[in-house]
Amino acid sequence: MTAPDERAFRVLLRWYPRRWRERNGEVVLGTMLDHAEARGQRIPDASMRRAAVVQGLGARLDRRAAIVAASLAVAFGLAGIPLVFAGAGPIGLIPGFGAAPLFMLLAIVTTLRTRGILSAPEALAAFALAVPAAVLSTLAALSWSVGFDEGDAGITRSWFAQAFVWFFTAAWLAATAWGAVVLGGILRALTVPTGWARLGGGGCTIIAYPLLAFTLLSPTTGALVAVATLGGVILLTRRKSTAAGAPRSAGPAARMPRPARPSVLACAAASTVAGVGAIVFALTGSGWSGVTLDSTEAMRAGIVAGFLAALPYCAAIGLLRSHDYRTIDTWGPPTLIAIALLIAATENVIGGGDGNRIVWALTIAALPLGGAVTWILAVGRWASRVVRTTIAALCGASVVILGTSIQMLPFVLPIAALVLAIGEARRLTAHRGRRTQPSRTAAA
Amino acid sequence: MSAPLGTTAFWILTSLTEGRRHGYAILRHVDEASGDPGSLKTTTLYATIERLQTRGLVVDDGDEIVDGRARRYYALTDTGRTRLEEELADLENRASAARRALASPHPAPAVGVATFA
Repeated sequence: MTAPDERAFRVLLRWYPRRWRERNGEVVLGTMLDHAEARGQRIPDASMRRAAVVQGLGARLDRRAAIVAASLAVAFGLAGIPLVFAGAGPIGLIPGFGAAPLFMLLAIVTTLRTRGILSAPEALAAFALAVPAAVLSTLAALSWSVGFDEGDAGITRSWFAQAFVWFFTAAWLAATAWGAVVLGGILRALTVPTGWARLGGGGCTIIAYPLLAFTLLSPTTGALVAVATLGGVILLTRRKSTAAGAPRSAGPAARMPRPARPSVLACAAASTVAGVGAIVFALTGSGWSGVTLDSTEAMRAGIVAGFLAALPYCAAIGLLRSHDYRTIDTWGPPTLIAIALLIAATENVIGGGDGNRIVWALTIAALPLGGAVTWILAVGRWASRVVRTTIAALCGASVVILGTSIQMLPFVLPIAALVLAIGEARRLTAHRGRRTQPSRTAAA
Repeated sequence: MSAPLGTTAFWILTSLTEGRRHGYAILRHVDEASGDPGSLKTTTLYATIERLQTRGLVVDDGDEIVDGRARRYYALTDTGRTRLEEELADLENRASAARRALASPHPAPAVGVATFA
């Protein structure tokens, strides 16, 4: 029998990250050598080498990589705001419209890989597609900007400006391929058959890409989406407690999962209903019979109602946190959020629509909101103290910088409240199902 | 109903139904049971096991050194067993539906050039 060459097999492990090798390297090597010995194989064949490259690179797309990518998206997104407003020209578009979306796409792929939704080959393919999608999108934005400047100056459009349609179409195609892989992976995880999931993912991206491309043309919106992406990455890649995965013979779980609470459902549902009502009034109130407000006043009244409608949602956040945190860390952040909402609501009532004044007032409202975000992230248990303090401070500062965006919260928070309400309702249903199961078994 | 397990994950869970096994024992079992020896690579095996661990279907169940080589054992969780049973029920439903369709008498589709009177 031919003895396997251990060194040749050990080389394959270099594709994996060091921390992964320290934890699993010897175990994987032992299995490789056992397998090679049984097959009379001295060195790895081409298919083994290919598999090691793909799986090793896939293992590098871990939680740390996702957080780094999302943090870079936030940093570039924030850096892009002053560049655009300072009139840095087309080159000033690159951080906010090129680098930030690229790192957002990479963070999404890495998060889905960490969650086991994308396989290693799919994640690498999505990584490879994200680069042309982002680069071509940036070229399209630059081409549009240059064309605009040339039009303003009354000079003949250059070849670069004329190439906008080609850049945009190529970016659209690359983004669609990315969507087929990434959104297709999500749909497949939701039990859609693989072929239909790919078609659905690509189809959604064909429709969504132009909408997103034009929405993200505002540097503030892009930075806001980057901050939301970082928050999503942190939440979605949290390490789960071992309770769900306890071995069949294991004893009681080390940490009990959070119990379902009807009070959380009630608060979230109240915020959803009141928030949707406020949005409807903001958009249509001026046309209601018996209402004497014009469309601007109705919008302002709806926004005020929307801020107030979000207060039960703050209570729901506190109730959610009460299972894991001491009292001050449980109720401190939701109280700060509530203060921010009340400041913003008050300004909309007494401000009288003065543009300069509302910018200052919303920036002041953003201070407690930024404090709440920093507090929530800093006391969590999702990374080492240094990493989470840095990211918490970065996110808190981002919220303050994006202060005027608070005015959009009445239109966003009902969606967040609805998601929470649905999640809590499902949790309550599952909890009741578990409680009734033993009695059914006994009856049988 | 959860997302389909995928072939490799299905065979790994099947292999662990008989008790805890180490990586190479799982690989051998999958080679024999799937009827396609050599198709599952060691690196793919461990990547799939990691994915199953993330979903709470499989857990580590101890390490040992045998003849100087490290071995890690894996065990099926209650969630993993339930998930495998769901997958089996789904496969059986699909198989019986296909058998019923094949057993029902259908005329073969006409092949060739149609003639007109």
